[in-house]
Amino acid sequence: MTASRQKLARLVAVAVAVAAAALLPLLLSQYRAFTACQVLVFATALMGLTLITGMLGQPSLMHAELMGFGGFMTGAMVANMGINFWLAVLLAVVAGYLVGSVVGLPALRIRGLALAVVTLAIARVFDALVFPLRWLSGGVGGRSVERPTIPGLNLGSDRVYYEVLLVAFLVVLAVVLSVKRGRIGRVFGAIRETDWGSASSGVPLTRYKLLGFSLSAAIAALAGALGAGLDGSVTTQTYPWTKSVTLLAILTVMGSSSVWSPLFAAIFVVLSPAGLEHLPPLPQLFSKEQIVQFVPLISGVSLVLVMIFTPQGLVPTIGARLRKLTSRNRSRDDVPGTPGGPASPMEPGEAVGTPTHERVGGRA
Amino acid sequence: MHADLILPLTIVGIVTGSMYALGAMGIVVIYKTTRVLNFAHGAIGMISAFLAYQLGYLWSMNVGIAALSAIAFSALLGFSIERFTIRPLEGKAPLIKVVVTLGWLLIITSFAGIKWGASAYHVPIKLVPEGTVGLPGVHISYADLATLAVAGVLTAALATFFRLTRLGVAMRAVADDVSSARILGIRVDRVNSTAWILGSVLAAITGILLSPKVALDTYSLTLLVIFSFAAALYGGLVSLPKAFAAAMVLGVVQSVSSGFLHLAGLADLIALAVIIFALVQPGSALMRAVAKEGA
Amino acid sequence: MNAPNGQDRLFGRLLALAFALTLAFGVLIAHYYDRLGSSPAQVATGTGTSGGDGTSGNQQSPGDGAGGTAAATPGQNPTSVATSTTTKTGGTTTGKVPTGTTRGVSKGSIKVGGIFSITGPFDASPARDSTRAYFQLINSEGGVNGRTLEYISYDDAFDPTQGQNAARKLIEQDKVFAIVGWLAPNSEPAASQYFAKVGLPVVGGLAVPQEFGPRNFFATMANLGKAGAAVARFPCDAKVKKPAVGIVDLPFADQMMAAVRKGLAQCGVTDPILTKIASTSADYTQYILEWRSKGADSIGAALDPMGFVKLMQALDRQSWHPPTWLVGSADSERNAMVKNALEGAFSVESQLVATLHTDLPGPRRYVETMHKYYPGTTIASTAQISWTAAQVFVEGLRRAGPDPTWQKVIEAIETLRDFKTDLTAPLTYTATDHDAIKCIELLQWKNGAWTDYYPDFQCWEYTSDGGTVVRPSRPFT
Repeated sequence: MTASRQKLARLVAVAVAVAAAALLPLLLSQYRAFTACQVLVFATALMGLTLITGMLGQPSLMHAELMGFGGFMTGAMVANMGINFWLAVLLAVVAGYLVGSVVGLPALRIRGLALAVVTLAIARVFDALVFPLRWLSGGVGGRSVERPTIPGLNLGSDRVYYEVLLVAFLVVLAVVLSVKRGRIGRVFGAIRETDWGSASSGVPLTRYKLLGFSLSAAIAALAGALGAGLDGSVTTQTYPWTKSVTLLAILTVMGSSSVWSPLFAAIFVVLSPAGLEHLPPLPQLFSKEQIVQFVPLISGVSLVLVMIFTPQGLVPTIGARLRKLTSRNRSRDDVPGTPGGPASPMEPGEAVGTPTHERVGGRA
Repeated sequence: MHADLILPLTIVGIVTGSMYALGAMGIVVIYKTTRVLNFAHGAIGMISAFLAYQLGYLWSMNVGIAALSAIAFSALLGFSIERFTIRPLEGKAPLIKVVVTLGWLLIITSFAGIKWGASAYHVPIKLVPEGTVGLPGVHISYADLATLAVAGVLTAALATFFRLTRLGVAMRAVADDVSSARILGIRVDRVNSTAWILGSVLAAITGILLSPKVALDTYSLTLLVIFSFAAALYGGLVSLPKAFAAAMVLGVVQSVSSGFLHLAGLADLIALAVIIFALVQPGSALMRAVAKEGA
Repeated sequence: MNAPNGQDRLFGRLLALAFALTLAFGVLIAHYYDRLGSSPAQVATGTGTSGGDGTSGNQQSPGDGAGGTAAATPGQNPTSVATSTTTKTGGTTTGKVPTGTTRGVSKGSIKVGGIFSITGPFDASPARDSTRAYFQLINSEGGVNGRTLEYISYDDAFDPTQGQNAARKLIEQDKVFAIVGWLAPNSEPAASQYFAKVGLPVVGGLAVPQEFGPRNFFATMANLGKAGAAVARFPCDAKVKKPAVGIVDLPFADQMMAAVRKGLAQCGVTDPILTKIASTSADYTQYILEWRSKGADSIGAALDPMGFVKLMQALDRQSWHPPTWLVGSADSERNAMVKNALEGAFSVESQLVATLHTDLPGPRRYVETMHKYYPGTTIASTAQISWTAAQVFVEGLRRAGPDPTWQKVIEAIETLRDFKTDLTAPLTYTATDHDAIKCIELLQWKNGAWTDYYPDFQCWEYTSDGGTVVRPSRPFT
């Protein structure tokens, strides 16, 4: 039957993709493998941001701080309590989950951009008060974390540690996908509509909102913990509020509703300074120093342009174009869109709520 | 800690609070009309101050003229931002527009860094003459007094404007319901432009007045403006008097408590506490404003 | 939309499949790498990267970490240096010296690397230019033992993530022989850990406490965690009773305060007012008020550049001008703004302020070289540290002979005894003590300019309990 052959085809596609991802380090030098690891760390963290902002519609300007929290907790537990790195990661994820439900409390009372400001204030408190705590950062602003070990595996090599990060990323991806396509995802979508529009729903907001924040924070903590193992250290400067703002901005540009955005957003976040050095017209016209100065300028301009022309994000727009090019008749529309609701959460669900507002942009 | 410090620290806190309040004006004006949180607010102030520096210090123009030119420039900048990059997004979700302002933050900040040097020291122009006033236990400068006066006057003037004038009422109407406002004959486009021009002018005034104190570089003003955001939040991002009050409270509590408690990040903690306090009060402006709009 | 059951089971299976596949591949790759130790692209007989890829001298055996991060296998750290714990404040360096590696060295040139914060709140481009200028000067005089120096530097944009990236790029892609003159305050603690593991010579930097443990680090700035005790002697000499000390809230501010407290205690001042100053606070008046109400009779301050301005402005506003000692503030650009408040204040510098001493050959050479190669660049004291770092490194390279390796260069630098540099007092590095800057210049602001208060360097030696003893002054030369 077509349906089960489609399912098989999809399984095979997934298997091939995963295999390709797993084999990627073989093609990379050690340095580029390290960069790939950094990309995976941020891609994993951004999954959490997609969940809270894209799916649940709660803007979060404290996501980098939650990563830092995971990193610091891991390093602190290993250093202060002498426990195994992996156990510390697990505990850090749990701690992240709990912290998420606490910092998510303001969301029960306020919505929209006001919430964004509150999360920014929370982020500042993390930066200035929580991270410098002696237990967390050792009193010198930085916690060193030894590269963890697994008996029999050479995790000291970035190529091998990459596999660990890939596993974590895939697990988080699968979790987020399941949430998205399941009942919880539908509730999240309804909440997003409620918050950004004038619709009302009979959904018990509290539980689901807190769940969203907890999950998102746990994912960020996981990413931060593994990132600390990658870098060998986490300092009070590694995950400041400016990084949180950058993460949200880049993710919105890519399209906060799509689960594929985190990967591209992470690539941009990690590689953009270096990448721009090689972008064709620039190296010929400017020196390396000058290019670096232009990076924020170019990022800003891209941000503005992308938002004007593709407000639902680059990934859904490009994905829709690609699909149009390659699609034949399909029995159903298998898009990674949210069940119900508009194409993307950051779409017309505006405060006005008039019945005739136009729906712009294709489905994600 | 000595009790004789409380009054001087309170006075210092009022000075600091007036800086926050001044910064909060432009944020509220723009949000009140367009429901957009302008993250580029500090940057607009900063680049206006830089322009004033370029004209008034590097090119030795009259300081008053330099300041006015810089303010005029900011009006133009604000207008352009709204006209070309926010208006095309009408009807889209607010977060999209906020990301646009973030983009502008990057553009303006990096432009200023390229043109004038990101961290090299720049001599800000001084609109207010040097000199201090002796108060119990502490001297405050004329510039501090000017900031306090300007913040107070602006708050009163703007609040009156929004409440009593036709344009002010129109701006509030546009925020509530764009379609209905149109039906009523309000020129929504013009109203939005006005809001952005006004907000940017307020940003420029903040930047030029504060840069002698805060440092004329590409990031200091942005950091300060975070506290302005917190103060504005207390008023639901729409109430000017509440923002002013919150800014004052914030400044005073930060200042006085720093005499008692030497804790890193105390200022940020207090800002957060002020916000939380607003959240748990059932009837607060913050709650009312948010409940109504949903954004 | 399918029934939830089908979807859930499908994704459950996808998840399990992905997990299993990744594990399988991961184990395969791990096994593969375990046996080979490195990939073909990394073997030291150089492919890919141009110029100088370890074609001379003793090679590291591949299994020894030449293929990447030196922690090739857990526990087989080639540097076998004491793990750089972040609480080390200096004192004896420990551990064996890394066995020689010659990556970055070719017949005609040596590659050296650096990381600087250029874009962002902190602009270290004068430091980068100073390092480059020194290497260019040496190259113009024939290089070192027949080789020219090639400098590769990256901008970390004040972001530790980029800093880590840059560090790894320098080591693994550019394969530099050493890190010299770097100045990236946000990234240094993190990248130091990595450089400590790799083991290559690192000369210069901000002298954060982490950098005084591992044997491959050589600082050309006073040990931030300990020098406070030495600086305290000046207020002591002036017989102050109740100094107020403000230190900017850097991560290691606590260590700096402890050192200052120690130094003050040595001259009987047991109750100083020690305050951490928030660099983000806009108005320093609150600190002034507090200090004055507690009866402070003098002020000491170690702040960020803008912090000095804010402090002096606040003092001016309150019309309070007690004796003041500032650490590293002789930066004339900003000082022009606070002329009145500065009158009579002291500044402590760990290097000669070059622009004030162009009558001496060393500073003159520095200023002239900078004007020659980088005429638009500011001359600042933070930049001078990098010049000195380059100078120390070049000397170590020279002494290491025609076939330099990490081990040889490190040990060569450790033979420096009273080595004359352009901008500092003569430097001494030993195998157990890399803390070479133990002399400072004391300046006083008089009539709108900095002048020398003492005509020579004031020097000290550290005692084992973290205090200091005064050593004879040494002339500027």
